Amino acid sequence: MPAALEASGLGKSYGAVSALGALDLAIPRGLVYGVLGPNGAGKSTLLRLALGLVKPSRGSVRLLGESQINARVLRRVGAMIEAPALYPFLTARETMRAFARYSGLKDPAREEAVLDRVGLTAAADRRAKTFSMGMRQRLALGAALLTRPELLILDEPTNGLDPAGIHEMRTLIRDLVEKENVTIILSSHLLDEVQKVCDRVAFINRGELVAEGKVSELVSGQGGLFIRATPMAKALAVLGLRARLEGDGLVAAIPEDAAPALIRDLVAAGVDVYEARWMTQSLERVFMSTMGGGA
Amino acid sequence: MIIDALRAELYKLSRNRWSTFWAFGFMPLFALGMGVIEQAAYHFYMGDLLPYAAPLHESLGGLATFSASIFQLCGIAGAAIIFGGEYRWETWRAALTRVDRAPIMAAKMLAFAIAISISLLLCGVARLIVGFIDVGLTGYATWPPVDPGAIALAHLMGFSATFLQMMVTAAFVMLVCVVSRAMTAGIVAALLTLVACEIASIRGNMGDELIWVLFPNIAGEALRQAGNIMMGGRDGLLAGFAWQGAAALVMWFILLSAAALALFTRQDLSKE
Repeated sequence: MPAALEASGLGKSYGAVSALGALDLAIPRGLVYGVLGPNGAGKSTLLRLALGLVKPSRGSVRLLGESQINARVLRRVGAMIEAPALYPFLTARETMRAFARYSGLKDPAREEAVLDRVGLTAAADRRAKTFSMGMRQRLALGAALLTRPELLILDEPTNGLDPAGIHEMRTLIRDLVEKENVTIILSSHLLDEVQKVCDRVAFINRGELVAEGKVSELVSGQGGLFIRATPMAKALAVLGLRARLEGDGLVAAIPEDAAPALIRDLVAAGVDVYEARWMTQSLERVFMSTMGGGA
Repeated sequence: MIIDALRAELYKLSRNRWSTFWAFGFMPLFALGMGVIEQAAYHFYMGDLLPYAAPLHESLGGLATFSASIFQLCGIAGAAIIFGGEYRWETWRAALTRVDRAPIMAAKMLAFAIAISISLLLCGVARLIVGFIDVGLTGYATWPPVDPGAIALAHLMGFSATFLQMMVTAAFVMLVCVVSRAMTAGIVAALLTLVACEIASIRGNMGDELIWVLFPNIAGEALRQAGNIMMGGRDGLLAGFAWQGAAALVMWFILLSAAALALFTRQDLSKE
């Protein structure tokens, strides 16, 4: 099965400014894929290139195996790029109707079902211009879901959502992948959310691919055992160079399976251990170290 | 795909009621209102001095409602909403993931053509009503001394003249909106250009040189005058250039639309 998105030497320049260098990237199907990077890294440019909204300066892009990015393939894709694109004079229901018509759909029940799915049934007859940012985001997502897409491209999907909305969005994304086999490519600045929802990620910086891999692999092996104990000096003496101070405790850089032995050593050395928990490496820390603090 | 886009465009127009009213609904009401006021004023101030109510000449005149540049303002605004709206609301990125660029622009042009045709026909009907009101006021009606076929053809020519003029204007608005990515630019540039054309082509109304039909307002007027003559009218210095005028309008429409489409299909929508 061809990749959901395949970029080969893909680049975009605006005059002398290079928005995307020469990106080689293959995003497999059937998972949630995060595209991460600081502002101006080229994430939105990559997504716009994939959707044919901008033309590449070099290289090529294939979407669902198709090299010609036209409406025939794009109708198999749902997209929400940057701020929600909505007509201010249309209500939520009318917005669905307008986009359904653009997509060639004649299924009012589907429009209602999508409104219900994004939690806007109660506000269906309100104009989009009166919506909060979160509601606009939901409506745009609903419009993207109308055609039952195989691939969903979401640029900052949690922008403007409250914590409950972010949780709902996360659940929706996982449901789409796990129950409906939709592939999702998303970009986000909320790395904690990305870590929770994405299966694989790519780090892009200054238009170049910096790192790529499974989230579980990127964050594994870089965890540590957080220990809160007294006296600290004795604990540090036991741990030696493996320890670093963090908050009111210390973090031991050891493999997870060495944790029980270490705790036994600390107790044997007369250290009182109040708290010991395994800290998984966060994607944010990986991101910061990968980007060299440039994020 | 063009049908899908057309359905969406017409749906959007029907839901954008206020803008659609000013763009396409106001002029027929204006034609009706002004006509009634005009006829009432004639009747009450001049009495029976002008006892020649001519409903069919009124309706033919109604089909010319959009002919003068200033009266094209409403149609220009309508074209700007249709062609520049996606830039203003930054909605290209949502629409173009559903329909290709050429079909969507063609659908927009078709939507404009449908809306302006209805508006234009309503203007004709409005003036026909004014004509019959005049009949009621004066108690006298005159009819063109020609057969019904000629009357129909004259109306068709009158409609075609203004319709083609408006389509040229819409194509110009489309081009300006694509180049500037701004709705307002489409309105301002089109209106100023039309006024400039009218001023620059005053001499063209003499009908002495064919070259003047390159001005859309002269070309439209040539077609209208030919229609008027067909219905028994006598004035028509430009009437001999009717077919050349129609050809000029079609040429302008094709050139401007093609230029706009060529630019749009190559345009980067990195930020609408």
